[in-house]
Amino acid sequence: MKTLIEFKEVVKEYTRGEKTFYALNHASFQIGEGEMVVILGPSGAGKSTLLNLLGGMDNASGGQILFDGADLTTYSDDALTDYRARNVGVVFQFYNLIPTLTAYENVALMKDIEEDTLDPAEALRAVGLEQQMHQFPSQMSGGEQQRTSIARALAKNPRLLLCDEPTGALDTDTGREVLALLQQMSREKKKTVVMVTHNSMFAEIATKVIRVKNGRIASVTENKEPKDANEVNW
Amino acid sequence: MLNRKLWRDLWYNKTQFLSIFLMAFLGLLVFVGLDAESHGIEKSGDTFYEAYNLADFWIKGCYFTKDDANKIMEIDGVNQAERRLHIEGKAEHLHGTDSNAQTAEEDNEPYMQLEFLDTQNISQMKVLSGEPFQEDREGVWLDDKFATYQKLTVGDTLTIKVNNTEITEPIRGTIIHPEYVYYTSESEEMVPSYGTFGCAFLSGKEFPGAGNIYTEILVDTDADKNQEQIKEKIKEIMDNPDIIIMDRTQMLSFSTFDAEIEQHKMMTFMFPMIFLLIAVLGIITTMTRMTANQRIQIGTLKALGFSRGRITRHYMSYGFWISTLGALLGAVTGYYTLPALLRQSMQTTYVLPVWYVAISRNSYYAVIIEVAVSTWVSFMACRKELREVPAETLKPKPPKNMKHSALEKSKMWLRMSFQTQWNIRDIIRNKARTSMGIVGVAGCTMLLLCAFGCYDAFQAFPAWLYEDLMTAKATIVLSDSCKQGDAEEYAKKYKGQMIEEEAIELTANGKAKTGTLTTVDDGNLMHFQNQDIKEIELNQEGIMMSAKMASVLGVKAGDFVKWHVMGDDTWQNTRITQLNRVPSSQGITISREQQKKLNYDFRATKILTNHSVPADISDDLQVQTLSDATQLKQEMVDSMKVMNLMVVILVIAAAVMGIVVLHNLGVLSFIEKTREIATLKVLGFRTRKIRGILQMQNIWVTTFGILVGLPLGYGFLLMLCNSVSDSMDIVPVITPYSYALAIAGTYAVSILVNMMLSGKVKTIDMVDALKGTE
Ligand SMILES: Nc1ncnc2c1ncn2[C@@H]1O[C@H](COP(=O)(O)OP(=O)(O)O)[C@@H](O)[C@H]1O
Ligand SMILES: [Mg+2]
Repeated sequence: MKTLIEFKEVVKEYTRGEKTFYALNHASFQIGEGEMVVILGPSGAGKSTLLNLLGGMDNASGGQILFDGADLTTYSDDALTDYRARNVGVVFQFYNLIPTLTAYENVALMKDIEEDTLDPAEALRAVGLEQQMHQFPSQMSGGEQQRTSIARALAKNPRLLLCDEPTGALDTDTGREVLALLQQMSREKKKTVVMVTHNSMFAEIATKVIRVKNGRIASVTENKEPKDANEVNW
Repeated sequence: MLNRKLWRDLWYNKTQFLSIFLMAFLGLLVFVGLDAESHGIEKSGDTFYEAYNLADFWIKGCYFTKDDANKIMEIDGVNQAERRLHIEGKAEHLHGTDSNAQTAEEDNEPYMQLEFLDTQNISQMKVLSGEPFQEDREGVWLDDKFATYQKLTVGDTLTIKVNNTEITEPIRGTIIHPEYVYYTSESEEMVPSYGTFGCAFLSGKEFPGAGNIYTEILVDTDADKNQEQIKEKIKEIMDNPDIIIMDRTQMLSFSTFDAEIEQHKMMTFMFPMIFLLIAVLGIITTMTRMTANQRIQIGTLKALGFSRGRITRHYMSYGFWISTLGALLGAVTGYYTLPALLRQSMQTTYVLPVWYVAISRNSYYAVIIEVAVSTWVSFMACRKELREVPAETLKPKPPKNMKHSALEKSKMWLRMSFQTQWNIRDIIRNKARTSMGIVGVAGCTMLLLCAFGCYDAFQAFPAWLYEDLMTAKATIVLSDSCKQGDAEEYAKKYKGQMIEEEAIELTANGKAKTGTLTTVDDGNLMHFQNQDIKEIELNQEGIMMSAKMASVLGVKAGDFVKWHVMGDDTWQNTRITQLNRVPSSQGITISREQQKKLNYDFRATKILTNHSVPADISDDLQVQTLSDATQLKQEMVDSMKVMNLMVVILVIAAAVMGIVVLHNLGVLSFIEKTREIATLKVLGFRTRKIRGILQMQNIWVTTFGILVGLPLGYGFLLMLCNSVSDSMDIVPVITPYSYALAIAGTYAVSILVNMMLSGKVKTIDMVDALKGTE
């Protein structure tokens, strides 16, 4: 399996008054193409920080972040925007749909940056939303909104799908549906999926689990036989 | 899709954007409307002057021979020169039986300005009916307004009393003339009642008198040649100290019309500035709020891979579209409405063949500037949110650094009520919002005060002139043929005060200006006021100069000024000992004794009296007109009515401006305070109590804004009054009543807005507002 992502001694620091605080402290790990990775850790551990760096949405204070061999930390703002537009799909905890656009329009929005995107209707059908296509976010349930958000992330056919607590705002059943959808993307469409969560039960569906604690990588474990998302209980 | 977001956002924030739209709309409506009007009348005048070859110089002061004209024509840069005689006369009992239809009180011997022509190549008349003018044709070409009013048509005959003789002439044509765009029968009449007096043009051969009659030469020059050089050359060639050379700016008709245009142009810039300011304030408040509210959306778009330029353009297009739409619609509406509205009063004051409506380049600039500024302001508003990395923008804004102000640490603080503390904190932490509110309120007060002040000033104007400065019931205006002996007799008979008015030319600091020399005989019907509008006695030493003239010439009391009477080349150099304020006919005033010391003979031109004078006195050859002060005053009051329109426009503008700014800010601060208000609700504060807290801040801001706005309003009014014209002096009086009205009006607007907003307090859902973002 080809290595897609490599973190090398990545540091993210914040200055709080006089003191320097490390949100990420010399983190190193690798992720292969097509993997389903779960990043686990308690609240405040630095998971979101890690994911944001991976998505080119934040700048590291030190170290190297390699994507397909290229170092993101050397990228300019424009190059990062380009990287995000081409390679990364993001799914947020609170969906972050544009409230004034319908589900269809939220997905079609991606056409504004990349001509070569999936047909929005098709993307929505893939997440099982053909019925709700023309509803506004406020007219949809949390699960439906999150699925729209996944459809939006998938529309431009990215190599990397990043999800920050995608089930955080959902109940068990809808959360499971979303997980299944993500797993399906990884298995069938060969996407690399990186999902952040504080729920250790999710570790079972991953092919690799990265545990984060106080900004450090506590452990990286491979999972030879990941469970089906539908079998997970929490 | 971003465009779809744009239109939906506009729709969801429609009240906010509507207000911005309105301001852009009003601003451009007024600007383009006034521009089309002022530039239009300028064009109307220029085309008329150009097409009928208005003279560039008028040489006066002695009899001119054909040879003189020829010599002037040889000067380099001079195209043509021709002779003319200007003389005042009267129309005799109007023709035939028709005149019986006229009412008895009406002046049966209207005053006429007569022009006898040698040739007619310069300052040509435009014939509206009848045949074109011919130099050797007998007959009269008559002022069209006069002909219409007096029910005269081509083919009728007109008897004119001139030079103590009567001549009867057939009317050959009715005309208008580029030197008679504006003309009056008396200097005090500001809006002439055309038709009750008139002008007429005849061939020089018709003049009852022998020998050389021409006392004026008209000169037409090449516009691109140095006019001053030509003037010097003429002086050199004529070599006669008695002659005076007047250019267009010294002609009553040209300069009055020109001043009118200038005044309109000034208005074009002053008012729209305010609207533009408000539109910008509106965009700042709305866009800052919107981008702050859409912070997470901006972060999302960034995370999705939208470039910074892309997002910037999206947010700039809000300001762009709204202002473009408002500006263009405003421009078109202004173009079609305002000129038509303002034209009516213009057309009664000025006589022109065609009234154009035409915009200048400034209108295009105004639209471009309006759109550019609005777009730029939108850009500035979203720039802040775009500077951060997406990871930061995706988080809710960290709360502001809550430092305690010096006041909060003082002992006084503890003694304040919770409401006061809460509001002071809120104001200190939202300085930008508070100052915008103050600016908005100040603007509202300023416009209101200015509007009521204008009304006061115009109300006071006729009373000032006809009650304070002149306390005569009637004025007998003497004709040119009246001997001083006759005048003395009238004065004795009606116990009147004699006045002599002469046109003079004044120079000081290198500036030359025409004005009036008023010589006052003993009596108490004419009064003078100093710059504080306090009555003063006319000094026997030196001269008294009108304050407006002094400011135009840049002199003050104690300075010397040089002047001479038109048609007399003896220059006087006298010290100004007093300044006085008069509404019209700016110039200098001296006593009869003082005049004697300066070696002039007193020759009264009018007599003021409080005794009743029979109406038929105007039939006397020595009398030009008899005017009644109450009637003149009434006419002036009527003519000021058009000004009420301006007052109404100002009041509406003030109200719209106040409502828009305060409503915008109210909504804005309300949204920012939603959480706090919800907290207060949870803590058990009643809706009424919360409203009280919000209202308190509103009243503070309003009060402060009013304090700022009052002096601004006075300053603005002062500017307006000064800009009216060089010959009119309007005192910017503001009655206490107007101050009260402006203050009350502003509070009314503020309370109205508060009422519009206070319903929202109830709608805040405690649970909803307090739900965390994470
Ligand atoms: N802008 C910031 N300034 C200071 N500290 C921050 C900032 N953003 C995040 N942190 C801190 O970094 C740490 C890691 O945050 P985050 O990655 O969001 O944790 P989580 O694992 O819960 O997603 C936290 O302690 C947080 O307080
Ligand atoms: Mg997190």
